[in-house]
Amino acid sequence: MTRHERARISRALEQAESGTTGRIAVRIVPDRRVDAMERARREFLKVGLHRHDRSNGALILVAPNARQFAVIGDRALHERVGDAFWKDVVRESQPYFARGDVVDGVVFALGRIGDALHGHFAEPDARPAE
Amino acid sequence: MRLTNGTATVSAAMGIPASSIRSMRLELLSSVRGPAGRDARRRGASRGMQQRRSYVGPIVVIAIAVIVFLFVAGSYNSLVALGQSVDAQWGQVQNVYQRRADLIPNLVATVKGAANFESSTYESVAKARASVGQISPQAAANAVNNPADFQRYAAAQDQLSSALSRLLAVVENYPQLRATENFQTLQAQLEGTENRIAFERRKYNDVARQFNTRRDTIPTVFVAGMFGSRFNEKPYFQSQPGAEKPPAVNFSP
Repeated sequence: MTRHERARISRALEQAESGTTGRIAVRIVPDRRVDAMERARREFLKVGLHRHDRSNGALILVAPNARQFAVIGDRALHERVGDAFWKDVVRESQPYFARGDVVDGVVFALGRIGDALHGHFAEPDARPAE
Repeated sequence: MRLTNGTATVSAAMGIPASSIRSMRLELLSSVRGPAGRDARRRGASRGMQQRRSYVGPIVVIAIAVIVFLFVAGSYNSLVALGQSVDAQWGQVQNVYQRRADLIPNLVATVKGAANFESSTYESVAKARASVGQISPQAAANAVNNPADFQRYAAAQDQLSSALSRLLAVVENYPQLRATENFQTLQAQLEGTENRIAFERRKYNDVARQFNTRRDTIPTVFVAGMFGSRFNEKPYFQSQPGAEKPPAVNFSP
């Protein structure tokens, strides 16, 4: 992955997290054989997102060599957005991964998760006065 | 080294005293001082060498020409590379628009079969779909280089978006239609496509901004100007007029 692509992902990550209490992690693993869901769950714990007291973390795991990816979210976030949201994110970002465009897929998924976080977990003091 | 020696010879022949040349050397290229000084002393011997004088001028000119050429080529190539990425991204934008246009006949057929409401809604969707189709593929492909075409293309797509959202809003009143699996799949696909359209448009703006920044900053701006309309600024997607206002929500039947 080039420096430029890395920068694009971290910029999208920043944009998705900013102004919200949620935290997102992105993991791209080189494994050829991997159970994406299981691995995502393990990485989630390894990163320590579950220690976040609001339980609104999310993790995107991509294994380009195994042609698999997974998106998982913590309890509070899942309660708000529901099962359909994760299915939508996967379905909509799948075409990018399918044509081998890992960065676009990740940035797209980050954008969708960011929208959800902004909708449900906006930072209290960042919210404009109503 | 030969170039510096040669310059000294030419300048000396032009009547500048050798001492001033030496002091200039001292300032500019202190390491060359020795040879330059020797050369100035040798000046008397080489004064008559006409060939050498006519030989040095062209070398300087050629060197400058090569430097200028390399600079122009570098700027040109960077503009071409960025322009290509804008074109590629424009292709992606068209791609998702095409996907949406392909979904519409299916959606309309499904809705038409299950609901029989005002035909004006169908008409507006069909008309918007047709106006998108009227733009020739060449014009659409070339729209990045032509702001007027770009505006027309974007306006036609925006019209289709609003007609579609009206259709989906009307359909909300038909519970038995919304429950059918076919309609649900189509609506999910349509929403996914809309999300991807937003993403691809944003990415297009991003690469167009990169191109325009490179094109309008020094030194590339001088090179871009030399090629006329080849490197015109790329137009951006802008939000629909009125999109900054929150939409009116009306729950009355």
